[in-house]
Amino acid sequence: MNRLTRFAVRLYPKAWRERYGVEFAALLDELQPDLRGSLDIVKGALQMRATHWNLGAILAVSGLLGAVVAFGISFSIPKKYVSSAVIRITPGQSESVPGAAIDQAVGDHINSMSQAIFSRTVLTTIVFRMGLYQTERSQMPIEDVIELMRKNISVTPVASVPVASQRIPAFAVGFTYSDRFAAQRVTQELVSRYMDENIRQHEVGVAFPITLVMLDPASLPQNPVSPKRPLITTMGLTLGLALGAVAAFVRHVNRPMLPATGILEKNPAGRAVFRGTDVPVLTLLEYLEDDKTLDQFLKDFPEVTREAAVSALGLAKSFLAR
Amino acid sequence: MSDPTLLVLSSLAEGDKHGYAIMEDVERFGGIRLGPGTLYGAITRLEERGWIRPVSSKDRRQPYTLTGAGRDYLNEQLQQMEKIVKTGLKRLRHA
Repeated sequence: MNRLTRFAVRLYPKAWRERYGVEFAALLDELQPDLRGSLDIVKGALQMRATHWNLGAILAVSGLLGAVVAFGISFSIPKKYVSSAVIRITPGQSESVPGAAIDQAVGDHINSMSQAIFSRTVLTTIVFRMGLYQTERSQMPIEDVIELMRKNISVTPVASVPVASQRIPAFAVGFTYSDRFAAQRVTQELVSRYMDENIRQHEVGVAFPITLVMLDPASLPQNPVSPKRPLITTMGLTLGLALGAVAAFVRHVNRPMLPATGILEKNPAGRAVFRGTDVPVLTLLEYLEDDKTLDQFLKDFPEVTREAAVSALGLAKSFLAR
Repeated sequence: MSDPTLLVLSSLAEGDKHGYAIMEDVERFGGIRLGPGTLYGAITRLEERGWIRPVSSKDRRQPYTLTGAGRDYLNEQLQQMEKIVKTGLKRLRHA
Protein backbone atom coordinates (compact mmCIF):
# COMPACT_ATOMS: atom_id res chain seq x y z
CA MET A 1 0.00 0.00 0.00
CA ASN A 2 1.54 3.34 -0.99
CA ARG A 3 1.74 6.36 1.30
CA LEU A 4 -1.18 8.23 -0.23
CA THR A 5 -3.42 5.17 0.10
CA ARG A 6 -2.38 4.67 3.72
CA PHE A 7 -3.12 8.31 4.45
CA ALA A 8 -6.50 8.09 2.67
CA VAL A 9 -7.53 5.02 4.67
CA ARG A 10 -6.75 6.85 7.91
CA LEU A 11 -9.35 9.47 6.94
CA TYR A 12 -12.17 6.99 7.55
CA PRO A 13 -13.94 7.28 10.92
CA LYS A 14 -12.42 5.07 13.61
CA ALA A 15 -15.62 3.07 14.09
CA TRP A 16 -15.71 2.33 10.37
CA ARG A 17 -12.07 1.23 10.33
CA GLU A 18 -12.73 -1.09 13.26
CA ARG A 19 -15.53 -2.78 11.34
CA TYR A 20 -14.16 -2.78 7.77
CA GLY A 21 -10.44 -1.98 8.21
CA VAL A 22 -9.03 -5.51 7.82
CA GLU A 23 -11.06 -6.50 4.76
CA PHE A 24 -10.54 -3.05 3.19
CA ALA A 25 -6.76 -3.41 3.62
CA ALA A 26 -6.98 -6.89 2.06
CA LEU A 27 -8.79 -5.41 -0.93
CA LEU A 28 -6.23 -2.63 -1.31
CA ASP A 29 -3.34 -5.10 -1.08
CA GLU A 30 -4.88 -7.04 -3.93
CA LEU A 31 -5.84 -3.96 -5.92
CA GLN A 32 -2.74 -1.76 -5.46
CA PRO A 33 -4.76 1.41 -6.23
CA ASP A 34 -3.28 4.08 -8.50
CA LEU A 35 -3.71 7.83 -7.92
CA ARG A 36 -7.32 7.74 -9.09
CA GLY A 37 -8.05 4.85 -6.75
CA SER A 38 -6.45 6.68 -3.83
CA LEU A 39 -8.53 9.78 -4.54
CA ASP A 40 -11.62 7.56 -4.61
CA ILE A 41 -10.67 6.35 -1.12
CA VAL A 42 -10.32 9.97 0.07
CA LYS A 43 -13.77 10.74 -1.36
CA GLY A 44 -15.25 7.64 0.24
CA ALA A 45 -13.69 8.50 3.60
CA LEU A 46 -15.04 12.05 3.54
CA GLN A 47 -18.52 10.83 2.59
CA MET A 48 -18.37 8.25 5.37
CA ARG A 49 -17.36 10.97 7.83
CA ALA A 50 -20.17 13.24 6.66
CA THR A 51 -22.84 10.54 6.94
CA HIS A 52 -21.66 9.26 10.30
CA TRP A 53 -21.20 12.56 12.09
CA ASN A 54 -23.17 13.08 15.23
CA LEU A 55 -25.16 16.25 15.87
CA GLY A 56 -22.32 17.92 17.80
CA ALA A 57 -19.82 17.42 14.98
CA ILE A 58 -22.29 18.65 12.34
CA LEU A 59 -23.05 21.79 14.35
CA ALA A 60 -19.37 22.44 15.12
CA VAL A 61 -18.32 22.19 11.48
CA SER A 62 -21.31 24.06 10.01
CA GLY A 63 -21.03 26.84 12.61
CA LEU A 64 -17.29 27.22 12.06
CA LEU A 65 -17.73 27.18 8.29
CA GLY A 66 -20.45 29.83 8.49
CA ALA A 67 -18.28 32.04 10.69
CA VAL A 68 -15.21 31.67 8.45
CA VAL A 69 -17.18 32.38 5.25
CA ALA A 70 -18.87 35.42 6.81
CA PHE A 71 -15.51 36.69 8.09
CA GLY A 72 -14.12 36.32 4.55
CA ILE A 73 -17.11 38.08 3.01
CA SER A 74 -16.72 40.96 5.45
CA PHE A 75 -13.43 41.81 3.73
CA SER A 76 -15.21 42.39 0.44
CA ILE A 77 -17.44 45.03 2.04
CA PRO A 78 -15.88 48.48 1.60
CA LYS A 79 -14.76 50.15 4.82
CA LYS A 80 -16.54 53.25 6.04
CA TYR A 81 -15.14 55.83 8.43
CA VAL A 82 -17.01 58.57 10.27
CA SER A 83 -15.37 61.86 11.17
CA SER A 84 -17.31 64.26 13.34
CA ALA A 85 -16.92 67.71 14.85
CA VAL A 86 -18.91 69.45 17.57
CA ILE A 87 -19.93 73.11 17.31
CA ARG A 88 -21.23 75.00 20.34
CA ILE A 89 -24.05 77.47 19.92
CA THR A 90 -24.33 80.58 22.04
CA PRO A 91 -27.53 82.50 21.41
CA GLY A 92 -27.32 86.27 21.56
CA GLN A 93 -28.87 88.41 24.36
CA SER A 94 -32.65 88.49 24.18
CA GLU A 95 -34.05 88.64 27.74
CA SER A 96 -37.56 89.57 26.75
CA VAL A 97 -38.06 86.46 24.66
CA PRO A 98 -38.99 83.10 26.31
CA GLY A 99 -36.49 80.21 26.05
CA ALA A 100 -38.71 78.02 23.88
CA ALA A 101 -38.97 80.73 21.25
CA ILE A 102 -35.18 81.07 21.23
CA ASP A 103 -34.81 77.30 20.74
CA GLN A 104 -37.17 77.48 17.82
CA ALA A 105 -35.32 80.41 16.28
CA VAL A 106 -31.90 78.77 16.77
CA GLY A 107 -33.21 75.54 15.25
CA ASP A 108 -34.56 77.45 12.24
CA HIS A 109 -31.26 79.29 11.90
CA ILE A 110 -29.23 76.07 11.83
CA ASN A 111 -31.67 74.56 9.35
CA SER A 112 -31.38 77.50 7.01
CA MET A 113 -27.57 77.35 7.23
CA SER A 114 -27.67 73.58 6.50
CA GLN A 115 -29.84 74.16 3.46
CA ALA A 116 -27.37 76.65 2.07
CA ILE A 117 -24.40 74.37 2.74
CA PHE A 118 -26.05 71.20 1.40
CA SER A 119 -27.01 72.94 -1.83
CA ARG A 120 -26.01 71.26 -5.03
CA THR A 121 -23.55 74.03 -5.89
CA VAL A 122 -21.63 73.87 -2.61
CA LEU A 123 -21.49 70.05 -2.44
CA THR A 124 -20.47 69.75 -6.10
CA THR A 125 -17.61 72.17 -5.42
CA ILE A 126 -16.47 70.04 -2.46
CA VAL A 127 -16.77 66.79 -4.42
CA PHE A 128 -14.63 68.06 -7.31
CA ARG A 129 -12.10 69.95 -5.23
CA MET A 130 -11.44 66.99 -2.93
CA GLY A 131 -11.77 64.34 -5.64
CA LEU A 132 -14.51 62.45 -3.79
CA TYR A 133 -16.68 59.57 -5.08
CA GLN A 134 -14.51 58.89 -8.13
CA THR A 135 -16.03 55.45 -8.77
CA GLU A 136 -19.59 56.67 -8.23
CA ARG A 137 -19.02 59.68 -10.51
CA SER A 138 -18.07 57.33 -13.35
CA GLN A 139 -21.20 55.28 -12.80
CA MET A 140 -24.00 57.74 -12.03
CA PRO A 141 -25.03 61.32 -12.78
CA ILE A 142 -23.66 64.03 -10.49
CA GLU A 143 -27.17 64.65 -9.05
CA ASP A 144 -27.17 61.10 -7.67
CA VAL A 145 -23.63 61.50 -6.33
CA ILE A 146 -24.69 64.68 -4.50
CA GLU A 147 -27.74 62.88 -3.11
CA LEU A 148 -25.44 60.09 -1.89
CA MET A 149 -23.18 62.66 -0.25
CA ARG A 150 -26.14 64.29 1.49
CA LYS A 151 -27.04 60.89 2.96
CA ASN A 152 -23.49 60.55 4.26
CA ILE A 153 -23.60 63.90 6.08
CA SER A 154 -25.22 64.05 9.50
CA VAL A 155 -26.14 67.07 11.57
CA THR A 156 -27.37 66.13 15.02
CA PRO A 157 -28.09 68.17 18.14
CA VAL A 158 -25.83 67.23 21.02
CA ALA A 159 -27.66 67.02 24.30
CA SER A 160 -25.99 68.50 27.33
CA VAL A 161 -27.06 69.21 30.88
CA PRO A 162 -30.84 69.48 30.74
CA VAL A 163 -32.11 72.87 31.82
CA ALA A 164 -35.62 74.15 32.37
CA SER A 165 -35.79 75.98 29.08
CA GLN A 166 -34.19 73.35 26.88
CA ARG A 167 -31.78 74.82 24.38
CA ILE A 168 -29.64 73.36 21.66
CA PRO A 169 -26.27 73.93 23.24
CA ALA A 170 -24.28 72.23 20.49
CA PHE A 171 -24.59 70.22 17.34
CA ALA A 172 -22.40 67.61 15.72
CA VAL A 173 -21.49 67.53 12.05
CA GLY A 174 -20.41 64.15 10.72
CA PHE A 175 -19.35 62.70 7.40
CA THR A 176 -19.11 59.03 6.44
CA TYR A 177 -16.62 58.04 3.73
CA SER A 178 -14.44 55.17 2.57
CA ASP A 179 -11.20 57.08 3.22
CA ARG A 180 -10.65 58.27 6.76
CA PHE A 181 -8.49 61.26 5.82
CA ALA A 182 -11.02 62.44 3.25
CA ALA A 183 -13.79 62.01 5.83
CA GLN A 184 -11.88 64.31 8.18
CA ARG A 185 -11.15 66.90 5.46
CA VAL A 186 -14.80 67.04 4.41
CA THR A 187 -15.97 67.43 8.01
CA GLN A 188 -13.46 70.29 8.51
CA GLU A 189 -14.75 71.90 5.34
CA LEU A 190 -18.36 71.58 6.48
CA VAL A 191 -17.54 73.11 9.88
CA SER A 192 -15.85 76.12 8.31
CA ARG A 193 -18.79 76.48 5.91
CA TYR A 194 -21.13 76.65 8.94
CA MET A 195 -18.92 79.35 10.49
CA ASP A 196 -18.83 81.36 7.25
CA GLU A 197 -22.54 80.94 6.63
CA ASN A 198 -23.31 82.11 10.17
CA ILE A 199 -21.28 85.29 9.63
CA ARG A 200 -22.96 85.84 6.28
CA GLN A 201 -26.42 85.49 7.81
CA HIS A 202 -25.41 87.87 10.59
CA GLU A 203 -24.56 90.46 7.98
CA VAL A 204 -27.90 89.92 6.25
CA GLY A 205 -29.60 90.21 9.63
CA VAL A 206 -31.36 87.49 11.61
CA ALA A 207 -33.94 87.55 14.41
CA PHE A 208 -31.70 85.88 17.01
CA PRO A 209 -28.02 86.08 16.20
CA ILE A 210 -25.91 83.17 17.49
CA THR A 211 -22.23 82.62 17.95
CA LEU A 212 -20.67 79.38 16.81
CA VAL A 213 -17.58 78.01 18.52
CA MET A 214 -15.85 74.84 17.49
CA LEU A 215 -15.83 72.58 20.57
CA ASP A 216 -14.27 69.46 19.01
CA PRO A 217 -12.44 69.73 15.68
CA ALA A 218 -13.10 67.17 12.95
CA SER A 219 -11.85 63.83 14.25
CA LEU A 220 -9.54 61.51 12.34
CA PRO A 221 -11.33 58.15 12.66
CA GLN A 222 -9.05 55.24 13.62
CA ASN A 223 -11.46 52.34 13.12
CA PRO A 224 -14.09 51.89 10.43
CA VAL A 225 -17.77 51.91 11.50
CA SER A 226 -18.49 49.39 8.77
CA PRO A 227 -18.14 46.50 8.09
CA LYS A 228 -18.83 45.34 11.63
CA ARG A 229 -16.73 42.18 11.47
CA PRO A 230 -17.70 40.68 14.86
CA LEU A 231 -21.38 41.19 14.04
CA ILE A 232 -21.07 39.73 10.52
CA THR A 233 -19.02 36.79 11.83
CA THR A 234 -21.58 36.11 14.57
CA MET A 235 -24.36 36.21 11.98
CA GLY A 236 -22.41 33.72 9.83
CA LEU A 237 -21.92 31.47 12.86
CA THR A 238 -25.65 31.60 13.67
CA LEU A 239 -26.65 30.92 10.07
CA GLY A 240 -24.13 28.04 9.87
CA LEU A 241 -25.51 26.51 13.09
CA ALA A 242 -29.08 26.85 11.81
CA LEU A 243 -28.23 25.21 8.47
CA GLY A 244 -26.31 22.47 10.31
CA ALA A 245 -29.33 21.80 12.53
CA VAL A 246 -31.58 21.60 9.45
CA ALA A 247 -29.11 19.23 7.74
CA ALA A 248 -28.92 17.03 10.84
CA PHE A 249 -32.72 16.96 11.06
CA VAL A 250 -33.10 16.04 7.37
CA ARG A 251 -30.54 13.27 7.77
CA HIS A 252 -32.31 12.00 10.89
CA VAL A 253 -35.65 11.89 9.05
CA ASN A 254 -34.08 10.09 6.08
CA ARG A 255 -32.44 7.36 8.17
CA PRO A 256 -33.26 3.89 6.94
CA MET A 257 -35.61 3.14 9.85
CA LEU A 258 -37.87 0.72 8.05
CA PRO A 259 -36.71 0.33 4.48
CA ALA A 260 -39.74 0.33 2.19
CA THR A 261 -38.63 -2.83 0.47
CA GLY A 262 -36.60 -4.20 3.34
CA ILE A 263 -37.21 -7.05 5.72
CA LEU A 264 -39.50 -5.10 8.00
CA GLU A 265 -42.78 -3.26 7.63
CA LYS A 266 -45.23 -1.56 9.93
CA ASN A 267 -48.45 -3.34 10.81
CA PRO A 268 -51.68 -1.27 11.10
CA ALA A 269 -50.92 -0.69 14.78
CA GLY A 270 -47.62 0.93 13.79
CA ARG A 271 -45.41 -1.85 15.17
CA ALA A 272 -42.45 -3.20 13.22
CA VAL A 273 -43.19 -6.70 11.95
CA PHE A 274 -41.37 -9.03 9.60
CA ARG A 275 -42.49 -8.23 6.05
CA GLY A 276 -45.47 -10.31 4.98
CA THR A 277 -46.11 -11.68 8.48
CA ASP A 278 -47.79 -10.55 11.71
CA VAL A 279 -44.73 -11.37 13.78
CA PRO A 280 -43.37 -8.32 15.61
CA VAL A 281 -39.60 -7.94 15.53
CA LEU A 282 -39.80 -7.30 19.25
CA THR A 283 -40.84 -10.94 19.73
CA LEU A 284 -37.48 -12.08 18.38
CA LEU A 285 -35.66 -9.84 20.84
CA GLU A 286 -37.85 -11.08 23.68
CA TYR A 287 -37.03 -14.67 22.76
CA LEU A 288 -33.32 -13.94 22.96
CA GLU A 289 -33.86 -12.08 26.23
CA ASP A 290 -35.57 -15.17 27.66
CA ASP A 291 -32.50 -17.29 26.84
CA LYS A 292 -34.27 -18.98 23.96
CA THR A 293 -32.36 -19.62 20.76
CA LEU A 294 -32.84 -18.23 17.30
CA ASP A 295 -33.66 -21.74 16.12
CA GLN A 296 -36.49 -21.96 18.63
CA PHE A 297 -37.89 -18.64 17.39
CA LEU A 298 -37.75 -19.83 13.78
CA LYS A 299 -39.45 -23.09 14.77
CA ASP A 300 -42.26 -21.22 16.54
CA PHE A 301 -42.68 -18.73 13.69
CA PRO A 302 -41.99 -20.68 10.50
CA GLU A 303 -43.29 -17.75 8.42
CA VAL A 304 -40.14 -15.81 9.37
CA THR A 305 -37.07 -16.84 7.37
CA ARG A 306 -33.71 -17.22 9.05
CA GLU A 307 -32.33 -14.55 6.74
CA ALA A 308 -34.98 -12.05 7.80
CA ALA A 309 -34.35 -12.73 11.49
CA VAL A 310 -30.58 -12.35 11.11
CA SER A 311 -31.02 -9.19 9.03
CA ALA A 312 -33.30 -7.72 11.71
CA LEU A 313 -30.63 -8.32 14.32
CA GLY A 314 -28.06 -6.77 11.97
CA LEU A 315 -30.28 -3.75 11.54
CA ALA A 316 -30.68 -3.39 15.30
CA LYS A 317 -26.91 -3.69 15.66
CA SER A 318 -26.23 -1.03 13.05
CA PHE A 319 -28.64 1.40 14.77
CA LEU A 320 -26.93 0.83 18.09
CA ALA A 321 -23.54 1.34 16.44
CA ARG A 322 -24.42 4.86 15.26
CA MET B 1 -27.36 2.09 -14.12
CA SER B 2 -24.36 3.61 -12.45
CA ASP B 3 -25.69 3.45 -8.88
CA PRO B 4 -22.90 1.51 -7.13
CA THR B 5 -25.33 -0.11 -4.67
CA LEU B 6 -27.34 -1.66 -7.52
CA LEU B 7 -24.12 -2.79 -9.22
CA VAL B 8 -22.96 -4.50 -6.03
CA LEU B 9 -26.36 -6.12 -5.47
CA SER B 10 -26.44 -7.34 -9.10
CA SER B 11 -22.99 -8.82 -8.67
CA LEU B 12 -23.97 -10.63 -5.46
CA ALA B 13 -27.14 -11.95 -7.11
CA GLU B 14 -24.85 -14.42 -8.87
CA GLY B 15 -23.29 -15.66 -5.65
CA ASP B 16 -21.21 -14.63 -2.61
CA LYS B 17 -18.18 -12.49 -3.42
CA HIS B 18 -15.52 -10.45 -1.64
CA GLY B 19 -14.69 -6.84 -2.54
CA TYR B 20 -12.09 -7.48 -5.22
CA ALA B 21 -14.27 -10.12 -6.91
CA ILE B 22 -17.21 -7.69 -6.91
CA MET B 23 -15.06 -5.03 -8.60
CA GLU B 24 -13.88 -7.45 -11.26
CA ASP B 25 -17.40 -8.77 -11.85
CA VAL B 26 -18.93 -5.28 -12.12
CA GLU B 27 -16.26 -4.28 -14.61
CA ARG B 28 -16.96 -7.39 -16.64
CA PHE B 29 -20.74 -7.15 -16.84
CA GLY B 30 -21.22 -3.39 -16.49
CA GLY B 31 -18.04 -1.96 -17.95
CA ILE B 32 -17.73 0.24 -14.85
CA ARG B 33 -14.59 0.30 -12.73
CA LEU B 34 -15.69 0.93 -9.15
CA GLY B 35 -13.08 2.69 -7.01
CA PRO B 36 -12.31 1.06 -3.64
CA GLY B 37 -13.87 4.00 -1.73
CA THR B 38 -17.02 3.87 -3.84
CA LEU B 39 -17.28 0.08 -3.46
CA TYR B 40 -16.96 0.13 0.32
CA GLY B 41 -19.31 3.12 0.58
CA ALA B 42 -21.92 0.96 -1.18
CA ILE B 43 -21.11 -2.11 0.93
CA THR B 44 -21.48 -0.08 4.15
CA ARG B 45 -24.85 1.36 3.08
CA LEU B 46 -26.14 -2.03 1.90
CA GLU B 47 -25.15 -3.74 5.12
CA GLU B 48 -26.73 -0.98 7.22
CA ARG B 49 -29.99 -1.45 5.35
CA GLY B 50 -29.88 -5.20 5.82
CA TRP B 51 -29.65 -5.92 2.09
CA ILE B 52 -26.33 -7.75 2.25
CA ARG B 53 -24.47 -9.43 5.10
CA PRO B 54 -20.96 -10.79 5.60
CA VAL B 55 -20.45 -14.56 5.52
CA SER B 56 -17.68 -16.47 7.26
CA SER B 57 -14.29 -16.35 5.60
CA LYS B 58 -11.00 -18.16 5.99
CA ASP B 59 -8.76 -15.23 5.10
CA ARG B 60 -8.73 -11.44 5.50
CA ARG B 61 -10.96 -10.99 2.45
CA GLN B 62 -14.58 -10.71 3.51
CA PRO B 63 -17.22 -12.22 1.24
CA TYR B 64 -20.78 -10.87 1.28
CA THR B 65 -24.10 -12.45 0.46
CA LEU B 66 -27.41 -11.02 -0.67
CA THR B 67 -30.20 -11.20 1.98
CA GLY B 68 -33.82 -11.93 1.08
CA ALA B 69 -34.62 -8.25 1.59
CA GLY B 70 -31.73 -7.29 -0.68
CA ARG B 71 -32.98 -9.67 -3.34
CA ASP B 72 -36.48 -8.10 -3.09
CA TYR B 73 -35.08 -4.61 -3.33
CA LEU B 74 -32.86 -5.40 -6.33
CA ASN B 75 -35.73 -7.13 -8.07
CA GLU B 76 -38.02 -4.15 -7.54
CA GLN B 77 -35.40 -1.65 -8.75
CA LEU B 78 -34.48 -3.68 -11.84
CA GLN B 79 -38.11 -4.17 -12.82
CA GLN B 80 -38.68 -0.46 -12.56
CA MET B 81 -35.61 0.14 -14.69
CA GLU B 82 -36.73 -2.43 -17.22
CA LYS B 83 -40.01 -0.58 -17.59
CA ILE B 84 -38.16 2.68 -18.21
CA VAL B 85 -35.74 1.06 -20.67
CA LYS B 86 -38.56 -0.64 -22.61
CA THR B 87 -40.63 2.52 -22.80
CA GLY B 88 -37.65 4.60 -23.85
CA LEU B 89 -36.63 2.17 -26.60
CA LYS B 90 -40.19 1.84 -27.86
CA ARG B 91 -40.56 5.62 -28.07
CA LEU B 92 -37.23 5.93 -29.85
CA ARG B 93 -38.30 3.42 -32.45
CA HIS B 94 -41.55 5.30 -33.09
CA ALA B 95 -39.95 8.72 -33.13
